[in-house]
Amino acid sequence: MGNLIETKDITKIYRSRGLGGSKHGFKAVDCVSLTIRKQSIFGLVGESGCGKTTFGRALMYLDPPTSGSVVFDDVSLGSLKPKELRRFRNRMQIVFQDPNSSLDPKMSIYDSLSEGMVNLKIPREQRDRKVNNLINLVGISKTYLHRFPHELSGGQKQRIGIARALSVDPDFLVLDEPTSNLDVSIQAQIINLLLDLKNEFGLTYLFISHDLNLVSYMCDEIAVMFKGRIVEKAKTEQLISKPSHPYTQRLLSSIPGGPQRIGVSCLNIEDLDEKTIKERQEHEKSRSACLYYSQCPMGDAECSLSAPSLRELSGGHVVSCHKIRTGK
Amino acid sequence: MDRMVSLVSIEDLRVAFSFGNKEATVLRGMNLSVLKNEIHGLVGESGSGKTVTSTCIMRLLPIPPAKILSGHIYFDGKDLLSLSGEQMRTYRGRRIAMIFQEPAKYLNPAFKIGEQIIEMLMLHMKMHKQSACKRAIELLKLVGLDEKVIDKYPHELSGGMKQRAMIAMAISCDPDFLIADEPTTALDVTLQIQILALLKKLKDMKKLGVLFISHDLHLVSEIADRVSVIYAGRIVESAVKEDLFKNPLHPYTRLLMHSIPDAKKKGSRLATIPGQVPDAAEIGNGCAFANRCPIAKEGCFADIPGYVEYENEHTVACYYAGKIWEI
Repeated sequence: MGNLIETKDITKIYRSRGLGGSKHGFKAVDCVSLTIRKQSIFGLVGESGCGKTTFGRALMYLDPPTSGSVVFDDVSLGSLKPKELRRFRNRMQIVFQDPNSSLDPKMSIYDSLSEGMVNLKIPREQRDRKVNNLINLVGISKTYLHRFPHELSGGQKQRIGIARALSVDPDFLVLDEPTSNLDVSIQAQIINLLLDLKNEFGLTYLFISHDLNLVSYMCDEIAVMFKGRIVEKAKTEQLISKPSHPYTQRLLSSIPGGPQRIGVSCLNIEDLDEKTIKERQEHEKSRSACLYYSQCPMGDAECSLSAPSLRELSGGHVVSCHKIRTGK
Repeated sequence: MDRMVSLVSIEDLRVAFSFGNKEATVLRGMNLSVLKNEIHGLVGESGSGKTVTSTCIMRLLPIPPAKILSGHIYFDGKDLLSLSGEQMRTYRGRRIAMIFQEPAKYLNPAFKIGEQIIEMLMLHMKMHKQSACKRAIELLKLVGLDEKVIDKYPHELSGGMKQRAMIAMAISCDPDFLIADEPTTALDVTLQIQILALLKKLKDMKKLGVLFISHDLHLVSEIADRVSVIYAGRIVESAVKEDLFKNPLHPYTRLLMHSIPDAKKKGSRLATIPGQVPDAAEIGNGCAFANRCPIAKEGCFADIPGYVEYENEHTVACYYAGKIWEI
C-alpha cells in the first residue's frame, strides 16, 4: 500500500507578543518528517506539552506550519489557495479530545452532523439520508437527532464527534486523544467502533495519545515525540520489544501493569542527582545539546555538543541518539 | 471483616443525595476495610461512588444535599459518623489525611508551600514556628523536593512537584490513614510512576494504611496489596491483588480486565460492556449490574446478591460468581 501522507520538516513556531517576541518564538514542533501509509494507524505518543496536538493540527493545515511541507495523496497542502484548502478538507477530518467542548451546545445533533455537508453544498435529501446512516453507524438511536449535546453522555458525545468527522467521507482522520476523557468500559466501545469504521471505509488514522497501552494495541507504527521532535519511530512490535532511545525506554518502563515493567532495566530520572540535572539544563539552554541530555542517564560530552539526528537501526526503525550503535 | 484488626472499616454505609423532591442513593451498602500497613485499591468508573466514599470518611460531605441513611465508619475502634464536628477536627488532617486528584486546586495559591505545611504543624501538633519550619524542610526532603520549595508559591511548581508538596502536607502530622483520591490522574506517565514509588516508600516507612482510589486497573495492580471493585455504590468484588487479577469472579471485574487495551491484545477485539453506568436514581432492587451483564438471569433483577466468601478472603457479590463465558 502506498503512502497517503508525507510530511517533510514540519516546524511550528508560536511567536509571542512584546519585545523580542517575534524573534524568540517557541518551537512547538521541530522538523518532523513522517510518512503515513494508506489504511494504517499511525500512533504518536508523548507527554503533555510535547507538541503532539500541534503536529496534528499543522498536518491538517488547521494551524499552518511555519515551515515544511505536507503532501497528501500527491497534493501539496501548502500550495492550495484557502478556498481550495477548505474544499480539500473533506478528505481529512479530526476528532477532538474533549467531546464536551467540541460540540456546539446550541446546535442539535442533527445540525452538528449536517453542518459539514451544508458547507459542501450537498442537497438536503441526500444530507438527511446520510445523517440517518451516520447515526446508525456509530450506534446511537435516531431519537437523539433532535436532542442537544447536554442530553448525551460523554461516550455518546464522542460517538457524535466521530460521526461528524465521517459526514464528509474523509480518507484520513486525526484522532486527538479520543478516549482520554472516557471511562474504560466506554473507551473499549469507542476503540472497537473506530477499528470497525476503519475496516469498513478503508480509513487511515493518525492516533495521538499519551496512553502507551492503548497505542500499542491500536497502531501499526508508533512515533515517540519529545519536546517537539521525533526521537524514535518503528513498527509497534519493534518498538515494544526493542525500545532503543532512553526516553522510549523510560516511557515504556513507566506503563503501569505493562509488560515492560518486568525485565527492562528501569532507567529513571533518579539515576542522575539533581546537581547534574541542573548543570545540564543550563548547558542545554546555551548550546545545541541533545534535547534529552539533561535527563538522560547515558548522556556524555558528545551529547552535550551536538543534537543527534534520526538514523535507521533496521528496517523502518529510526532513532535519534548518539549512544545507540547502528551496526547490524 | 473484624474491626479490631482493621484500621478503618466501613460497614453497610448508605448515602443519598436529594435534589428537588428526588433522591438518589449513591452508596448502597458499602463495606470496606483497610488494614494497617496496607494499600487498599478502590477501582471503579466515574459516578460509581469512589469519591463520595472518601469524602464520607473525612466527613466532608455537604449535608444536605447529602444524607447518610445508615452505616458506620470505624476508625481505630471509634465510629467517625457519631463524632461531633469539634471532635472530628482532631482526626481530620491529624490522623486521617487526604491527597487529591488535582493538587493545583487544593493548594492555596496565596500562601507559600512552607506556610501551608507549617500551619498544619502548628495547629495539629502544637509546634512552635521554628521547629515546625525545621520539620517542614525534613518533610519536603522526604518527598524528594528541594528545601527551597518552602519559599515558593504553588504556581512556581510543576504538576508533579505540586503533588509531592501535597503529599508532604498530608503526612506532616504522621497520620495513620491516608486517602489518595486519583493522585496521579493529572500527571504524565513518567511522573505517575515516581509518585507511586513515593507512596509505597512512605507506606513502608510509616506503616500507613492507604486507601488508593483510581479508575485505572493497571495502576492499582501496580501499587495495591488488596483491591476492591466498586460498581454503582457497592463493592462487587474484593480480594488480594494477585487473586483478583488471576481469577476475577465477578462478571464486571472480568469484563473490565478484558476491555483494557494493551499490546498483547493487538489484533483481537476488546471486550465491551454494553450500555453505561446506570443513573443512581434509576437503580432498582436487583443487582445494579444486571442490565449490562451478559450472564444475568431473572433472579438477578429481583434481589441484590449478598457477599460470598471464597478462599483467601476473596469476596464477591454475584449469584453466578466465577462463571466463565466466552467474551
